Amino acid sequence: MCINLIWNMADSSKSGKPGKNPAAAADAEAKAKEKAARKALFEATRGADIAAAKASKEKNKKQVKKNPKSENNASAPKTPASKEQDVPDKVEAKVKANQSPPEVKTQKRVEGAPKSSEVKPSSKDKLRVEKDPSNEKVTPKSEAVSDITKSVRNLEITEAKPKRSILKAPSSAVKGTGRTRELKSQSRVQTLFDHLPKGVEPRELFGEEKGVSSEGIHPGFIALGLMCSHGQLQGSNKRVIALLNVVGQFFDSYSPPPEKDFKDIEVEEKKSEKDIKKDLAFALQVFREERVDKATEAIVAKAKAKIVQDDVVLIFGSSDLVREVIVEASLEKTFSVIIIDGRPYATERRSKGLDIIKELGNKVQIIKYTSITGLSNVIRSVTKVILGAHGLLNNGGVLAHAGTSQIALMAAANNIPVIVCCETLKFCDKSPTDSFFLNEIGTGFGLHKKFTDAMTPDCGPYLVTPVIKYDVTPPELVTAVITDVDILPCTSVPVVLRVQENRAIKS
Amino acid sequence: MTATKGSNKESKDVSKKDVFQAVLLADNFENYIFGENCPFVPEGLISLNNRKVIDYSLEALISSGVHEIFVYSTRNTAELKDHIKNSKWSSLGSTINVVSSEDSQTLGDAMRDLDAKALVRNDFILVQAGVITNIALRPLLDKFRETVKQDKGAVMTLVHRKMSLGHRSRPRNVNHIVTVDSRSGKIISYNFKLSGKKLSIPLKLSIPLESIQQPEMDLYLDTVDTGIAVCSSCVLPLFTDNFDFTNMNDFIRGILINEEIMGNSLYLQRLESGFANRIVDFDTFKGISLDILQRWSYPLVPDMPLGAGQSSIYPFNYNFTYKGNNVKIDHGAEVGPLVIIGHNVEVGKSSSVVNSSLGDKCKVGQHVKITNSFIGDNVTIEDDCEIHEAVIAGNTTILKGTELKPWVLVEGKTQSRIALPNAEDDDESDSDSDIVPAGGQEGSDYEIDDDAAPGGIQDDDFIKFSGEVLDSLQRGFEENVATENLVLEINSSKYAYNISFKEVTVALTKGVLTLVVNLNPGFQEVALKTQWAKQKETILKFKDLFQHYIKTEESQRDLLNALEEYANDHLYYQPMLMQTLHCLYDDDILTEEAVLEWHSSESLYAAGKKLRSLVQQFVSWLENAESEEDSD
Amino acid sequence: MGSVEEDTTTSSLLALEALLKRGQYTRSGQISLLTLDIVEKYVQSNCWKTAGDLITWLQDTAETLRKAAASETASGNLILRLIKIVRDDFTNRHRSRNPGLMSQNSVDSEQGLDFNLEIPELRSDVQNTIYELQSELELSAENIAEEADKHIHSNEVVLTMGKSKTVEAFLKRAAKKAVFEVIVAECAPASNGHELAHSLASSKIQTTLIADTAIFAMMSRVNKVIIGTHSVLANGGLKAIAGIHLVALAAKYYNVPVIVLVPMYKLSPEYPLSTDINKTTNRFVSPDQLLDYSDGDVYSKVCAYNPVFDYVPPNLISLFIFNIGSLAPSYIYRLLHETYPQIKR
Repeated sequence: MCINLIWNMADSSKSGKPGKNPAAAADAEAKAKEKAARKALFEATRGADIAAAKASKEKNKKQVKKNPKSENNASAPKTPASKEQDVPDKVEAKVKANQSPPEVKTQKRVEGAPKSSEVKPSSKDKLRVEKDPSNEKVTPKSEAVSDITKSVRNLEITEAKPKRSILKAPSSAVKGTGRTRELKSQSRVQTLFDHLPKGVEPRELFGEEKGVSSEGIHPGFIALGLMCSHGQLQGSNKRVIALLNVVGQFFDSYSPPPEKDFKDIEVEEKKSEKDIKKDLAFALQVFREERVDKATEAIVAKAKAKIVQDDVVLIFGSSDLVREVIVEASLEKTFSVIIIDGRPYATERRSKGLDIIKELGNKVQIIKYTSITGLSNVIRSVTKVILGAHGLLNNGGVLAHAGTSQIALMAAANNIPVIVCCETLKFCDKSPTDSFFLNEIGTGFGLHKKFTDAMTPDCGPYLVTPVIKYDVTPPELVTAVITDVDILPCTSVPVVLRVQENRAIKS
Repeated sequence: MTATKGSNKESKDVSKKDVFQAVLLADNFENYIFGENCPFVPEGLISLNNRKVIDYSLEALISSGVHEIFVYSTRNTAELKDHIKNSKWSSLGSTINVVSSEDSQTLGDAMRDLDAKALVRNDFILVQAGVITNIALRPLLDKFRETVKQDKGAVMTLVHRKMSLGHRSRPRNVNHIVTVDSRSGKIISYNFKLSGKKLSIPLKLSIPLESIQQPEMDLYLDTVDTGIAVCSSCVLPLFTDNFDFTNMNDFIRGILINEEIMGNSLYLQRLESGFANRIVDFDTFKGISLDILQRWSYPLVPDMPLGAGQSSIYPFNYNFTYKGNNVKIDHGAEVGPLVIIGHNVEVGKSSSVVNSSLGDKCKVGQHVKITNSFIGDNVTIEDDCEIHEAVIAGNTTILKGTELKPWVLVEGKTQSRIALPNAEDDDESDSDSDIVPAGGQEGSDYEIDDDAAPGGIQDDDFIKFSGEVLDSLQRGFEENVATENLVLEINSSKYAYNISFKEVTVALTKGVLTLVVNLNPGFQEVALKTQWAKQKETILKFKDLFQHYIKTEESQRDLLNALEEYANDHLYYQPMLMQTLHCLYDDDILTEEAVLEWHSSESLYAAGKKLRSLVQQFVSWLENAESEEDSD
Repeated sequence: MGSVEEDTTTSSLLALEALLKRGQYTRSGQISLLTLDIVEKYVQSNCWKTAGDLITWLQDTAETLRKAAASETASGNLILRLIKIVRDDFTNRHRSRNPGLMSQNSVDSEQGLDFNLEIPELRSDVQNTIYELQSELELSAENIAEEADKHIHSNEVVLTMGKSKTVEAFLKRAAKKAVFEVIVAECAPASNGHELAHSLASSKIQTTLIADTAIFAMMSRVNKVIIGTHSVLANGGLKAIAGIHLVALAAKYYNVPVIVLVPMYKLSPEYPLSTDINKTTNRFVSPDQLLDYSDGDVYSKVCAYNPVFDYVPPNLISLFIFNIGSLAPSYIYRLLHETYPQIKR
């Protein structure tokens, strides 16, 4: 079905229909069916190493069978597999997913993991769908991967149990003398982040020990993954655009195997490979223009109207969108800007907030800067707060850089309007109620150097320094969300999603 | 565990060896920070953000626990002494001695004077005029002592602050390139890159191979001298021994050149955090004033008292403005960020004040725009004025409707143009600055006074000096004297007769040219080829000498003028002029820009045109060569 | 008269004043001890005869120190306490000598008696008081820590911010009986939290060090917030290290109790002056920790605030633990009344 989708799209573009509909159709379809395929690719790049790692750890568990299989698969990605196999696998995977509730849950959690590792919601998901079925290179992997995903899912279930026992451990330790000092178990706090892939140094992503080889993945994706983990690609928009570019490259470089030639796919007309590629590229371009570029313009236009002369605007970190809003607004009126910054920085001593200063520079008259701890000192003079977001969740929560929720909280406590700028691209139908569900654990924040030296091996395990990158702001703290569609309250997310779906289905 | 230092009781207990001493120079000998055209106020008593500059320096020293401070002053000493007494600096436990001497003209002289007076016994901190810092100085001294233990020859640690190029608080014309040993911080080479707008790569640095002991070197372009140096007790005697050390640059050069011989070495302390900077010109004055208002120099900020609390404080307001007591600002007036307003000031309607400082008791009228300016006490600015980048001394009235040009200093009824000091070079003559007739006219035009009329200053001293130079050259030629010695000789003559550098160049050039004639009797009758061969030999022999003295564009100009003058006066030489130029160009003593500029300029000499046509071939060649390079 | 002693006292006072003016101190405990030293010297000297002299000197000293650093109230607080104690002592002694006098507690009666000569007992009384105060200062952290068992139970997650000696002692004490976890927010840009995290981990307490931006995210899993403060204001609000307000707000959102550990000398009889407490009593230090001065492009375009203190309103605080016991913010007024004299300004 996914495959149909694409060729339909290619079709309609050939017949001259505006690219909008197919893209929208693709969207809708994609949203409805994204999980397996997306998971497939993500497991391949990020999750697989974890899966493999877990697999190798859990040798004495029930799922022994699966482990060697997954390892084998991981190390032999070049097993030729037919396209037909691919689809049934996926269907199978999906069916499994839909059938077993506990699996669904874990599945969701696993999804949460890879998502957070690289990707920002929704947008990329759709594209993944389009890509996988049509890609032969990925196919051998995806088969392996689907197995891996199965094993991972099962592992997750088994993992859940040990975790619960872990939670019990501290109390059991205490029961007796109450003086147990040995670190038998993980701390509760640490376990909060266990579902998330740990921030890994980029070179550790691929390697024999991890059981994941980089063969079989288009180098563009590897590069993308590396850049994301290196921190070079910061900001959801940048990542989306980069991903779109890579997908484009990927389409370009893809060539079907001689015997296949799309014959298994229902197409109305036989098209040359070139044309199909062109259509795909066109579809991508349209997608990007519409959902990213134009959306940005629309949001900027709406948002800058909200800034009035002599305002004092508070912004946080460096969201591209917010930066554009400020720069555009500064051309028309004079106002002052207060930039809040918070650790951890992408690279130490060059915080995100400073990048804005370089751009704004002489354009905005007065720029003030402070760390998030100084927020309560400056908040009184602020007239509005403008924030960017990585995603808007189904329950109205705003997924954004860690610290955003605090700014919203402080602003709300002082009755200052909080405006979030977010494209509909980033709307996501997840509903986490806290900040742990969807998150990224990064690298780069640790104990101060002078203390790391003084750390004895004794106290080592007692100290953890997780780098929490995102948090979820509750909807009641946000006044309005400016999207490309309209200015909405936070809680309108499911409405927008539904409307878009409907629109897609109709066409 | 009292953290206080410098209380009387403590200093009595402390042995002589541990007395922490510092020398604070009250005057900036090199140049007046506002340029030569402006009426002189001793640097220490210039108002920076409504406080005297010397107060900042003293506060920095006393906070660091200096026990004895010697303030060296050459001008307006009485004023300085009064100020220090009135501010009750001495009550904080450190002893402040004002040492005065009217005779000292340069930093070198001051050092020699101090040495003679034998006041400083230990390692000390040398702080030049206009230094503002919040770093702790004691650790610097301790570190220096450690360094001395490792390297007995360590004489001084220069303290630099890391500042990127184009930094607003960095002096415009000063770009030093310092090469430092990574591990010890010892300075390997120090290049005074002059007023460089362009840095040519590859860069020629003279790094003596012998001094490289460790394999790692760091090359810094982004450091700025803070004016603070930790000196060992040998420094003052070194100045006494080397009479030609006039300023710090000489000292640095001298020590580095003679490193193998004398075994003295310099170290660099490059600060990457904390605030340390020095006011040397108007750029830095503006920059540092803004830095202080932005609180980089905390605790030396307007809302914290300096010294014994006698200086008033200006409370910090939200928008980075500091307002004193009793300030009346009209409703429509904009007092923008980074402003300090003194006590009892009134600002009228629709006026705006941005990035500036207003002294006490000022009155600003309506519709006045003030940006980037420094206004003293008791100044009245009437309506409708525009003041940008200006310094207005106290007790002045700016009349209604005045539009001051930027970079102007107004005092009473006179306006002077603020100028930047010349690029650092050996040349002490600095008459390139614009001279403004001190009239009461607003926006008066300025005229550029051309230096040295044609013919040079042919007075007795110069003649004697030329004679001596010629003697030295002759001896140098015959006995193959080393360049350094020649330099020494020429320099000593220079001082003896009080000759400027420009004149040295002239004398040198003429001397070299005359030498050939003197050494070869019958020179003028010989064939041109032979003449030139001998001439070239002489020139090449003194190539190093030329290189030593001809470093800036200005000195090149002087050289060319001297050559022209000589050619003008001596017919026989004229045909050789072109080849001389070519030869000097090949040896990198002259640059093509200088030659082209000279060639295209108006000649001051009778034979000017003729001479220019004589060298036309060379010049055309140069022009072609240039354009070839460009097209590459 | 002991002029030498007077000199010593004066010079020490000047030294302390200079210290305050330049901000060369890190903890108010340090200031308080220094202040007490000075007072002790003065009391031991022969510079004063009557209670009146002493009180006048104390008031003057308090005024001087307050002018030196408006943001530091610890020394002033101590001196005020001393004044109250001196007055009380004096009144008691006087009353015990003259039982016939009407037992009025009014200030007027005290004033009328100020110049009586009651040197010997008063002197020793005051000296004793000073010793008590000194030991109280030194032991404050430990006294407060004794309450630790009651407040921290096993398996709890405690959040704290920055570094406070009192909190450190408190947590370590509690760790002896219970196994719990601590989340430390690092408190940029000074990043004192690192020190505390290291210290706790060395004592084998499970610690997690997080950046300030993650406080709200972590708050949903926290059971208690335990913080120290710079001073407690007369309305029950706090003047604490910058960033504590964030913690308090987040805690309020999730209904997590906020417990503040405060030694008595940090209780100040001052009210927050207007809503903009920052103007007069906050310190804005160099932005060096936030921005890089050497980067000419960036720093010159920006004015950076680096405040030291935060104001936290009393409604965000659940409990105060003083070395004399625990109190709700609403009861602070009573404590003030008992500790500090009613000063007429």
